[in-house]
Amino acid sequence: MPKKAPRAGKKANKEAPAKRALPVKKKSKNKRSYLKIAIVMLAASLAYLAYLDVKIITVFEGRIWQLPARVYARPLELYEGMALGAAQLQAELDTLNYSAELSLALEPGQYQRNGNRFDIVTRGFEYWDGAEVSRYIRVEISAGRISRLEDLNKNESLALVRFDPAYLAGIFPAHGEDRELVRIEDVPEALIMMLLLIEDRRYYDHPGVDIKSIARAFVANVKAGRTVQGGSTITQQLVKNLFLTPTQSVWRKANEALMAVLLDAQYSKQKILETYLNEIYLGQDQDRAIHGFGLASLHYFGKPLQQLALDEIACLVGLVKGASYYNPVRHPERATERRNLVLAAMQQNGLITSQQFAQLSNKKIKIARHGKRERYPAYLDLVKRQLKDTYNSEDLKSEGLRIFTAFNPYVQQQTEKAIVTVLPQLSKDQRLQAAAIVVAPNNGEVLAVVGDRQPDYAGFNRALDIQRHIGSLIKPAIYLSALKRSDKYTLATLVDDSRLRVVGDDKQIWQPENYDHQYHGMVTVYEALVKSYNIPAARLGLDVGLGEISKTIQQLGIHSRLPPYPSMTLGAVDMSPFDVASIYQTFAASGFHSPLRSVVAVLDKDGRPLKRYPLDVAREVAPDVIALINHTMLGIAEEGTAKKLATDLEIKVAGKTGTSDDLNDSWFAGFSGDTVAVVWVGYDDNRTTGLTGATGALPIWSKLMKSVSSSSFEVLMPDNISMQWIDRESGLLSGKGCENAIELPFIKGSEPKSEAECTAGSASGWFRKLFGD
Amino acid sequence: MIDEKPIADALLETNQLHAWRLSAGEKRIATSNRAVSQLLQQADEMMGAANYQQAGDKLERLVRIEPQFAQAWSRLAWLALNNGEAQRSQQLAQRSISYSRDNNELKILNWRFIHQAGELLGSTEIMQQAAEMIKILGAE
Repeated sequence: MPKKAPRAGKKANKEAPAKRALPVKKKSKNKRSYLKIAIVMLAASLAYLAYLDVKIITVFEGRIWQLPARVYARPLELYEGMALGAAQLQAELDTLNYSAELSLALEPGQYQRNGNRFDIVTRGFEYWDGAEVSRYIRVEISAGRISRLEDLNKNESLALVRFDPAYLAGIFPAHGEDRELVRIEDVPEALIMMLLLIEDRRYYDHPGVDIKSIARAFVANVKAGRTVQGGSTITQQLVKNLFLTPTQSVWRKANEALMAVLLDAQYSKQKILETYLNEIYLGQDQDRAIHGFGLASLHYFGKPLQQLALDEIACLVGLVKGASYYNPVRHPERATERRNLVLAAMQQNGLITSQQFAQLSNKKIKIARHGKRERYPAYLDLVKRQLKDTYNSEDLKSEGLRIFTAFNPYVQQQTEKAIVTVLPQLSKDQRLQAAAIVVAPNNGEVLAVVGDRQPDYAGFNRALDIQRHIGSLIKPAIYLSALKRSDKYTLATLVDDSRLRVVGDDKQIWQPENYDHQYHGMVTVYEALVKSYNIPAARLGLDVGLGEISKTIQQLGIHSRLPPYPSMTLGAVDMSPFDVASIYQTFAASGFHSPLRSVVAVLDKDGRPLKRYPLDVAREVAPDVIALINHTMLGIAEEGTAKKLATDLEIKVAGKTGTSDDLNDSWFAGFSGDTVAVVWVGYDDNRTTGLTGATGALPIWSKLMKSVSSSSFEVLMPDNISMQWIDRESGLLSGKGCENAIELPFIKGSEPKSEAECTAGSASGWFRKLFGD
Repeated sequence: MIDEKPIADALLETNQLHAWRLSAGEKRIATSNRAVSQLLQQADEMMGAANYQQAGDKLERLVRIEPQFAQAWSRLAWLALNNGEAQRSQQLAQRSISYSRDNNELKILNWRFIHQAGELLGSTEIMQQAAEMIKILGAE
């Protein structure tokens, strides 16, 4: 073809003058040229349209997201007699975004507080085990407990009330991305009405571009001599956001219009509107852009879109015109003015009454206190990991899952507060880090996780991922291993606290020392653990065998194998706070281990539970031996290395301090009757902290327990345990009232047989026989 | 996941269990907590209607409120047994026993569950231990 055409052309040119038909031929040639140009232009236009179409489909399809799984906290349940202070209930209501109202007619999600009396209208909620209806209740609190719970509509006392759960986040468990996307059917009708009223009244009538609107804007702008009105439809705005640069040019405007028409032809109005609702830019949160009404609702008002009031919706709609200029945080006056314009348009169109307008436009914009970057990232990290571990990956890919967790917002907030308050008191060095995990003792449910000194920081999750020497936290497991052999060891058995020198298989010499660099001679097992002496622990550990200790730790809930070095008896074993919590939960539950779990139930979009794993318990250590250790751990908090707790707290707690070599890690692990908590303090680069378990982690633990726990720990004594008065120094039988006597538990039959002399005349053998046993 | 049907004829049927409970001193249920009583009653109704999964949910809710409520752990043990989870049932029954204090009737009921769990597991050792405990507790 390319070679033939010029020849033909040349021939025609040669012949043309001879026939004298030049003008006609020229005209015909021009016509053909125009036709060619037209065809080329048409082809180019079609090609361009096809290009735009492909671009639209590619980009737009990528924007039709999956609906994220919604993650919820544990529901707040109230009942008479429940330990709950007024401040805590207030904090719970704040977390749930219930608003304090003065009016007598309360709506769901509102309350009135009068001192220790709360009148609340709860929001109804569909749980996996049944629906909770909205109730109008009265809660009265006295002496830190709920003294009265009443249904005000029925005028009768209530046994139990369950609130709607606090919404934590939207997540994509399958690929770990967090977004707050909304489906159009979940968007409040009022928002769509307001949005279309303000931005694009003829949205459902135009083909993507609204000529009338453009003409009206053109006239208004010419009259004003500047741009005062835009004529862009919602479709055009979306096209601009998705496909084009923000530069102002005729070419861009033309492209915008063309693509809007193509988009409108390709997709339904509802789909385009849904994408717009999720895509529109509504502000900035430091370096993160706030796109979409779902995220904006959480960011500004701290609650999901469905819970917004009319004035709050109007505020968000007002942001569309200029998210920075009308930012309600930085420019509340401008934002209020703009919001009221939206409300006025509502009134003018008969969508709200003038009375409603007056009421709503007078309201102050209340920005949520918790509307920050990311809430509780360490806990959500655990949720994501456990979802992958325990649920079928195909199930997790389905849309609209609802994930119910054991997360306790109040406990989490208090844990964060304890770290944020105490850590700066321990050291001015901002690099000193801390992590904590809080667990329910009886079912292993994880209530709170903090992974950084800045709890909102979604980075390295130290509560789950650090692996550090646990120091003396291992000692209860060592003594447990020894006490299993009740024929050889009891709490009163004397152990030698004198120089110890161990030559390893590799000829390496290991010579442990006590923290105070002293030797204490012969001490009872009880005393050795309460005072956390190193040498008796090492001696006992070596006697029972490193393999036996490793087995005990596995029975307590850690499934990885531990390296069998003699130094493991002093805690040269790497674990995370999560691992430690797993062990101490077993102690707190009297030997019944429950795997630590954050996810309680997962429902599909129709409310059906996915296959789930119910409450699990396993006891591999005899309850009598556990009772001996738990009694001793109570002693640690009363008179041992954590005796500060006896004065700090009103309740009885049990626990153990832990300090690794060179003071690199400071730990405290312990429990009350209703809470297990583990706190770690240290540096990421493993340098010395200068802190022991008692001076670093313990003050954080103490502050945390003071605010979240109200129940003393009581040792569950099995039938085969007997209590005996023992002489602290000799470990022999003593009597109540004798000097140095202490009451200790024994597995029946293992009690000391010999009696110590009862000194100071406070009691004697006959006295003991009468009153002591 | 709790199935809707018992898997072994040897299991105590719900009605039989209910009768046993009445004789096993359940009138001595030690709680003044109305929330606990309400949840227990709802769980029993659901068990009566063979709605075992929901019954389990109610009982888990109950033990969050009162963790040492032995009767709830005992019911959870029965539900696990009913679902063929012998190992789990045995542990839950042990847990109920650890909170049963001086309620020997409840302890015997739990040992019966453990006996049946041993049967399902094919463990004569567990069965023998359970039988022995039932005998000792019955004689007290």
